Amino acid sequence: MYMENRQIRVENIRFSYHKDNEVIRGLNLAVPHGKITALLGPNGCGKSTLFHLMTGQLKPSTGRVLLDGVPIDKIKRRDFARQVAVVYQHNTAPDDITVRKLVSFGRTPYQPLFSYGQKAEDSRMVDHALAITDTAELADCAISELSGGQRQRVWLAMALAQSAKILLLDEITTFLDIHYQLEILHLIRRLNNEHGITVLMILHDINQALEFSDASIVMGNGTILANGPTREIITESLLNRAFQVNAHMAESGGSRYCVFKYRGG
Amino acid sequence: MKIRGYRTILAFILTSAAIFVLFFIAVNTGGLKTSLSQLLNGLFKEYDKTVAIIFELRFPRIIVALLGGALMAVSGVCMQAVMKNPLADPGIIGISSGAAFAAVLVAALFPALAVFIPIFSFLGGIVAFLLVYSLAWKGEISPIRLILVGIAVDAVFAGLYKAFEAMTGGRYSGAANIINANISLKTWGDVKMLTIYTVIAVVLCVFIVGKCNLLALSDQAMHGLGIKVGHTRIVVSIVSVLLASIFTAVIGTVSFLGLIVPHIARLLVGSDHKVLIPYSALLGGFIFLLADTLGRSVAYPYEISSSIVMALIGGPVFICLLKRSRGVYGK
Repeated sequence: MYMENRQIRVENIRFSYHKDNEVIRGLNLAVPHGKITALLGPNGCGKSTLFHLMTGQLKPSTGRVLLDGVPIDKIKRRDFARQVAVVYQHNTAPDDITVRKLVSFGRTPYQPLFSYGQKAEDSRMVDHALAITDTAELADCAISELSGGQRQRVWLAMALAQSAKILLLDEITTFLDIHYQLEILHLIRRLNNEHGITVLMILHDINQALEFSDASIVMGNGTILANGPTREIITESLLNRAFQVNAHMAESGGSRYCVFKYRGG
Repeated sequence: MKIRGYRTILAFILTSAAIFVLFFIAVNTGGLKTSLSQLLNGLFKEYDKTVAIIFELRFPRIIVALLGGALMAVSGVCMQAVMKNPLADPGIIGISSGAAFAAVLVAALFPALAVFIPIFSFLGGIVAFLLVYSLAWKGEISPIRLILVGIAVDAVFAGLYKAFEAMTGGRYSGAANIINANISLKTWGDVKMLTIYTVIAVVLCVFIVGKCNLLALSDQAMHGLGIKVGHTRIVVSIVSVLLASIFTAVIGTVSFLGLIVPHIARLLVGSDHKVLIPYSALLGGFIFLLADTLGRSVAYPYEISSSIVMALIGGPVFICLLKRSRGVYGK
């Protein structure tokens, strides 16, 4: 099997926005290579902060984030962007920009500082990204003409045009209706299966994590509560502890689901 | 896509044609008149006294207006890209005033340094920009906050140079010309200076076009693409302030030019800076020459300064644009 050792590891990181309020309290983890990992946890548990620490947008006060064993603040931004692509929940772009043009921004880390026009390799990668996200037929549409689900697929296409082996996704399905949520998650599954892309995604829906992720990291109060294969670690007691709810696991058609009851307090 | 392409080409052709027509009208505005054939004959074939006078007196002014309008319009485009804010006009948010204050000081106190006034203006413009940016910045720049801070900074610098002019008894005509944006006495020397700085500006613009496009993305998306966001902002800001400062040093303070031209340009050719910047330059030249020519002809033989005409045209046009695109600013 074709194995490339491109892996994100987090060592002993701590982070605080304000002095006496630590958001990340000494945290270690490795994002499993070639798998889909869900990052789960209640609001304010620090998962977004951890996400930004892994993208390099925030710098830990102590500890290190490593990519392939190299601390990410030692890696040039462009080189990092060739290996790790990020998609966010909220995105902005000019209304009249075409899908193809937007996706071609994904080639920025490969282009010289003052580039005009695109090399053959660039347009080939853009075509490829459009094709695998099923947005090729939208290539000449303006971004403002698209539905929310189509837009998120286009932003995914932009990230794929970076030809990165690791995708970090920050709640990219949150504002979509269930149809588009599933569509995007299936697409992510396919990217992982067919193109071997490592995915780390922040999710809110535990059942979607059970269905679409191989591994999960469950956070609470700035630390990791559980980390491992999703089906093994997601248990009633863990969910009760992490989310302060009464969770009940059920099995149906070979898949596991959970339902939740509010327990107050 | 196709339609946008045709529309862009049409916009370039029509605006260029309009500039030619306006050029001829501007040449003929005033006491001396000439026909097109007489003009061409006098310019390229044999000496013609009328044409020679027009060439010495009116041509520099017209060329200064065209180049200046282009500079200010492009400065506006860049500032709006950096601030992610379609209301950012260097002429309104205080950058021109900062540049003008520096220019007035140098023109009055060190007249020997006249050639370098654009450089001092640039320093003044940078100071004003840093003030506005740091005061308006709160994680992001809200359109309202930017305008409020900008108006305050603008008022302070405008107050400073007006006070300076009053204290010196209005003895320095160079200073007064900058304050009133008076371009009636421009010479071929001014054209030469402006041309040199414009060439520098064009070269810089070629380098920042791609950056302007990327600035339309969110900061975190830019970061994800491996772009140094702060660095990109600084570079594009410096170019914008430089263009506005050159304009101010040679012409003066003019509001709305850097605001309405990019606006109209965006409506016509879209937001891709590869097209938007050159088209804004063209349209900026046209609009500023139009303002100057109107100012010369409305109450002939008296002249209304181009900055006053710009305010008179720009204000209402701007309000119309605001009403049209309420969605953009309503947030």
